[in-house]
Amino acid sequence: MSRLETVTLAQLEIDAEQTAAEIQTWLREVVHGSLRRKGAVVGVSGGIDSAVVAALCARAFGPDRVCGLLMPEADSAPETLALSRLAAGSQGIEPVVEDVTDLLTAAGCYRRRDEAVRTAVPEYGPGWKMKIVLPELLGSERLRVFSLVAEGPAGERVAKRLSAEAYLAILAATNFKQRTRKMLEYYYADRLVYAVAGTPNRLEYDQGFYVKNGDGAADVKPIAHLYKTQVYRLAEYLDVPEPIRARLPTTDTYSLPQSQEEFYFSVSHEQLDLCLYAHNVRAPGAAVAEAAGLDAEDVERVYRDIERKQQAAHYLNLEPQLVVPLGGAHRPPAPR
Amino acid sequence: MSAEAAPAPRGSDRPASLHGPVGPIPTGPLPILAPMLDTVSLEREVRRFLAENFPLGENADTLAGNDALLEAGVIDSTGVLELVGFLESRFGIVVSDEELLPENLDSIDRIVGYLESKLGTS
Repeated sequence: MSRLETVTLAQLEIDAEQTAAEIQTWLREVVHGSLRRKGAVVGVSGGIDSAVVAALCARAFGPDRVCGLLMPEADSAPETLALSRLAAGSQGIEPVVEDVTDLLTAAGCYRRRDEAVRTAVPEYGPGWKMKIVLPELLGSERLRVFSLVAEGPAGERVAKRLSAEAYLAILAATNFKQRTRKMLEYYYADRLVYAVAGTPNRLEYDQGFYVKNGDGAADVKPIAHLYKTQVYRLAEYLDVPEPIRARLPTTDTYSLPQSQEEFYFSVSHEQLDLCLYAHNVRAPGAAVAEAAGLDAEDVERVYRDIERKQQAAHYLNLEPQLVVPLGGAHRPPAPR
Repeated sequence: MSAEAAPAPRGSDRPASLHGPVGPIPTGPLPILAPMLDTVSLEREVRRFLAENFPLGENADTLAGNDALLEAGVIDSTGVLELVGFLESRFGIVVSDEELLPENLDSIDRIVGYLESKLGTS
C-alpha cells in the first residue's frame, strides 16, 4: 500500500461466510488428508478464540468428531466453566471436563509459584491472590518490566517490581497450566486418533502470547492468520453465544482478574489490530493514529513494542533445531 | 497465555537455587563496589556483565557505547530486570521505577552515566 494511505478497521473487514468455508475446507484437507486423523481436539476456555475454533471444527468434521475439552483449575474465574460449556454446547459438542488442579498440585505449580511470590511479598499466603502486570505503554517512555500485584484476604493490595529470578520462576511455574492442558489434549488426540487444534489468533501468534509446548503446541492453527476483530466477526457468523463474545479477553491464569491488555498487549485489541496491520504494511504511525485513537507518538511506541515482542517470539516459533536438516525424511510414504 | 517469551536462563552465574525457593539476585563472590570507580572501570564492569549474561552480549567488546541494547536485541524486558538487579547488588544503589528509562539504561554509555550520577562520581 502507499505509505501515505490511511489505515482503518475497514481494511480488516472479512466476508465471514467465505472465510469460515475456506477454513473448514482447509481443516478437512489437512486433518484427513495430510495428518490422517479423524477429527479434532479443542481445549475450550470460555474465550472467543477457542469458541470459534470449536465451531469451525464442528462444521468441518461434525460435532461428534470434535472433542471439546474443558480444563479448569483452582485459579480459573468462576464463570469459566459455564462459558466453556456454553461454547461447546452451542455447537453440539459434548464437553469433556478435566479439572487439572490435582495434576498442577502434583507438579508443584502452585507451590513453586507461591515460593517465588513470597520473595517479593513475604506475607503472601493462604487467602491471598495475585497477578503480574506491565506499566502503561501509552504516554510513557518507561521501560516495560513486570510487577507483581498481590491482594490479601482483607482486600489490602501490594504492588512490587519483581526481580528477574522471581519473575521467571513465577512464569515457569504458571506455564505448567498451559502445558498440562496440552498434555491432556494429546491424551485424547491419541485415544481418538484426532488432531489437536490450536486456538491462537494473529495477535497472539505474531506477538508470542503463548507458552511454548503449551498452548503454542498444536497440529493445526486455523485462526492464526486472523486479527482479533476478524475473529469476533467470525464468531458472530458462527453463532458463538453472546456472553462469550462479550467477555473481556482474559488470561484466566492468575488468581486476580487480569485482562490480556494489562498483562501483555497494553492497548485494546482493536488498537493492536490496527497498529499491527499498519506495521505489517509499513504504514507510518500517522496513517493509523486517527483510526486507533492514538497520537502519532503513541503509535510509534506501539510499533516499538510490537517489534520487541516479535524479537522475543522468534524463539517461541522456532521448530527444534537439528545438526543436519533431514528434509523429507519424515514424510509418509506415497500411496501405491 | 504466556508472558513475553521468557528467555532461557543465560550465562554461567545463574542462581544455585534451581531446586528450591527463589532467592535474591545472586551477587556471587563479588562485593558491592566502592562508589569511587572511574568511568573506564564502570564501563568495564557493565561490559563484563553483558558478556557473561546475554548471548549477544558476548560481543560486548564490539558494542559501541551508544548502541541501543533493546533495539539490538542484546536485552529484552526480562534482561532489563536482570540489569537492574545487577546494578543494585553490584553498586549498592536503588533503581526507582521512575528511573527505568531508556535514557538511563538503553546503552552502555547511558548505564555508565546513570551509575556515575547515582554514585556521585560524575
